[in-house]
Amino acid sequence: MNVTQGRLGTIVDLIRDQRWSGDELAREANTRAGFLQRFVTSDSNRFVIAHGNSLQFFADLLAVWQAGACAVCVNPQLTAAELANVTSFVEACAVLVDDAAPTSGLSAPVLCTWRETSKGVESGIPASSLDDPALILFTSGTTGTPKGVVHSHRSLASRVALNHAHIGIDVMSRSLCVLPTHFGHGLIGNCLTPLLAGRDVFLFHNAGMQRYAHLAEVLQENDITFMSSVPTFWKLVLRLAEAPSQTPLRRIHIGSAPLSAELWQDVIAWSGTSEVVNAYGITETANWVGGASAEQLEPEAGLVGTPWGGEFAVLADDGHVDSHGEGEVIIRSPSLMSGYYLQPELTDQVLNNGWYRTGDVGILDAQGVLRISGRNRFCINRAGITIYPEGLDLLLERHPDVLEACAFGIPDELSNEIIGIAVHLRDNADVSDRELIDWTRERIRAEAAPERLFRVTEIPKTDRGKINRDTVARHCLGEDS
Amino acid sequence: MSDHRDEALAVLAAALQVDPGSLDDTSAPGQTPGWDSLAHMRLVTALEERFERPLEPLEIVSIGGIEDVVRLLDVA
Repeated sequence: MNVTQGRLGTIVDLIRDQRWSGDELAREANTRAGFLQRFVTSDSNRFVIAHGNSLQFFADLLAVWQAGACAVCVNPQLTAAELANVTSFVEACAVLVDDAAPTSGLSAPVLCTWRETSKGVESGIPASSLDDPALILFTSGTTGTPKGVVHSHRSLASRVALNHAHIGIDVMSRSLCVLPTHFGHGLIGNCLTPLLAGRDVFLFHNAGMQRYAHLAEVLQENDITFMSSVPTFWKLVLRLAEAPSQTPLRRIHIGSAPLSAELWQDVIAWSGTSEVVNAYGITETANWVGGASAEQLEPEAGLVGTPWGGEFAVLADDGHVDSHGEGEVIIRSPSLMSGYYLQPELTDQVLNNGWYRTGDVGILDAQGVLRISGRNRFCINRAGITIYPEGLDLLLERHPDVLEACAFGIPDELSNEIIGIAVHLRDNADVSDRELIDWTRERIRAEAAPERLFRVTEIPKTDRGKINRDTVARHCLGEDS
Repeated sequence: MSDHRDEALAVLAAALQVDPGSLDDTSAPGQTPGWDSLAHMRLVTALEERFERPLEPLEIVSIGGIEDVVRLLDVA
């Protein structure tokens, strides 16, 4: 991806009060690219970017692409052990940090590019092709075998182009990002889509309660026309912030977690625009792949609407692909991932003949409108962040006092779900619940750590010896009959 | 010293999912690990259950440390 060929928008960090014009951002990226090219080897061109939500992050990301390399964007809150695990797994050629990132025990050189630019030279023409890996985002397993979603330059460019076509460019002329940039929703949808169209992006992630309480002023002072977020964000804002007296917002996306019809209507009332969209997207599809606007359809829980490029279908129980009906939702789109990094078997489980199996269950009507009715996977959705419970099971089972563990989601009004975990301890184990939770938090980022722990004398199994997480959850929550 | 300090520590520790012993007078939103917006709202929910009334927006955003939680408990 050659960042000097397009026109980038201005990027503004509202938290640190910094801004770069598109030209400044492109110049910074180009200079860094020349420096980064020195670290690319014949074995690896993968740069882990271990910081985010800043001007420096976007300069590093675009520099990696300008250098013809692949960016591995990770959560800046990863523990040192998690970062070391990811760095080793992708065999990174370097890790890009800001001042705050942990830097010990990594298997690659650690670089702070903004301090190194004096050593840089302008880069040449990128050496990558459209189908080379451009971006890896991890959705789970940073403590064990990481699950890294690989996108090529082609899939990313397709997603951005389709977003432009289906959303419109002018409506995103000034976009507010309250989401983290290691998150496909925040990075690809909220930031890259406008930025690569020459539109301006305003970073406002983790701004704190005081600033969220004044969201209306932030929107008006910066003339924000577009923003995207998760339902939990709006649950906070609607409690804290007065509605804007005159809204500059022309469109709002809400996604990454189930949106109730009530919250949808409340956001319309608060924001003063009916162009509020329940956006459907998954990291594997480069995020937004469809959506329903309240301008066209009456808000209802689970309403996804029509695809933005590509097509939706449902997989019937007999394996037949149907253009309408009920079943597992499958998606065909030019923005589908290439696969999971170094995990071909896992890739084969979800990608088949160009279709991606979402794991969501839905109803597709004859007009092509999709409604999600449930999930057939046990992933936990905590405030829009997907947590795969299998990784938590394996982590807890590394504790010397734990024989077996089983994580599951617990419904929560604020977060959609919180994380519970059942543990079967060894005989004579002498460990408190607090010690177990603290042990976990030392090894995994806070957003994935369990919040409630249940001691059980056994983990219930099916008659085929498999864990049924619903059964375990009901047992722990006292809901089994 | 307020009688409510231990209770404040316990409520805050539960919201942040940390040991009460790890909190002190310098603990603050955005600075103490885990005290993000979600944890803050968890704290608010716990206080609302304790008070059996919803907190006002100004009360919610004015919680900047343990002393503020103690103050809310003192006047409840």
